Amino acid sequence: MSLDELSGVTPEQACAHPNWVMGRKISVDSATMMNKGLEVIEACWLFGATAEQIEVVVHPQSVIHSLVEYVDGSVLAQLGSPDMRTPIAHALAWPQRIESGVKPLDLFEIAQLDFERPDSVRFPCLRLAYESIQVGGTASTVLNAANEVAVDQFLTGHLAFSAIPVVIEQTLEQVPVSAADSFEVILKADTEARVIAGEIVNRLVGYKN
Amino acid sequence: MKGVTILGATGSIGCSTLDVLSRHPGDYRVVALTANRDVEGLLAQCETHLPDYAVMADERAAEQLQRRVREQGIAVEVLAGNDGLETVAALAAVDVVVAAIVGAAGLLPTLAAVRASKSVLLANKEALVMSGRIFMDEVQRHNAQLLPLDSEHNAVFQCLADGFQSGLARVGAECAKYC
Repeated sequence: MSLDELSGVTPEQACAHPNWVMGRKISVDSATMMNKGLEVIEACWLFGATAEQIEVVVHPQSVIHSLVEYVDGSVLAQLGSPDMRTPIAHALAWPQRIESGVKPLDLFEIAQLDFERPDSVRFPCLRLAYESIQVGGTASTVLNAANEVAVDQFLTGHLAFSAIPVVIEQTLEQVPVSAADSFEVILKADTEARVIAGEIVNRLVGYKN
Repeated sequence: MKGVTILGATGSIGCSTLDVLSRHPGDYRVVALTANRDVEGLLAQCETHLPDYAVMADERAAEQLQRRVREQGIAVEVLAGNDGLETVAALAAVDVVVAAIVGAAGLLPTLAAVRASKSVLLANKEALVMSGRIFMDEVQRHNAQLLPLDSEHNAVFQCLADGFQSGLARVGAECAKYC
């Protein structure tokens, strides 16, 4: 799909992921790659990692879910059929293992695993997410709020698919960043970003009409 | 037997969680289920899984659910709004809270589970994106357990040795690759 064609993507197209069945918001996030961006931010907190330690890999078969590289050169991967019941069963029973109903992985049927570098020109959301980590403070709160507003406006048919990152980038430029040291500050940044993002959407939609 | 609350039960993660739980009826008990506006979806889940509590985040949807529950003769206590969500996230009978509300709306109920020292199965990625450091501080302060449900994070978790919380380097890991 060309960059031009990307602007005309419909909510139905954006929500049709080839391997995973997901809700509408996360489906759009997957299509813009903001989902990966949010995961990178989350990973830093969950695993005590820096943004440089988290690499995004495009893997069309969705069989490998993530890998960890060790100092000795070992790379451990977790594989499985793309079915959320596996991570759910794992987390429910941890450190035990329980049956989940997931169909066993047939390596011969899969036959091939492909990997690509993500294209940051086509997927500016990924760049914006990494930048928000570098900025720190409430920047990723603002990123998240602007994304929620933009995705909602896309799903309700008001905003073009390609305008989602535009709304996020402009909101990040306009909302001042503060230290994220209390939940009050965070909720205030969230509210403020939603107002600004809404105004930006109105302006963008106004231009289009 | 572990008591389970599912925040966001009618979504994709909620439905998959109920499917796994129903395969192990002797090990888990569904204590509370919550949804935003899907009254009929939550009603059907209440009929099948018989939770003690059902919460609708939307107040008007909660009134509808209350009426439907009475019509169907289902013994479940219906609660409403963010207060209801926070209540069922922190119940004494609950050991595990599945945090599967989409978006910023999930932050406060998930935080309530953390502050009640539950085992929190996190699918609501926005909570951590919004409030990373102070959220993790709360997890530590309240001795809650945070387990990632997202397939990618869960995969990294499975590939890491104990002790990673103090930094990837601590367990000899160089980097994580997200597919």
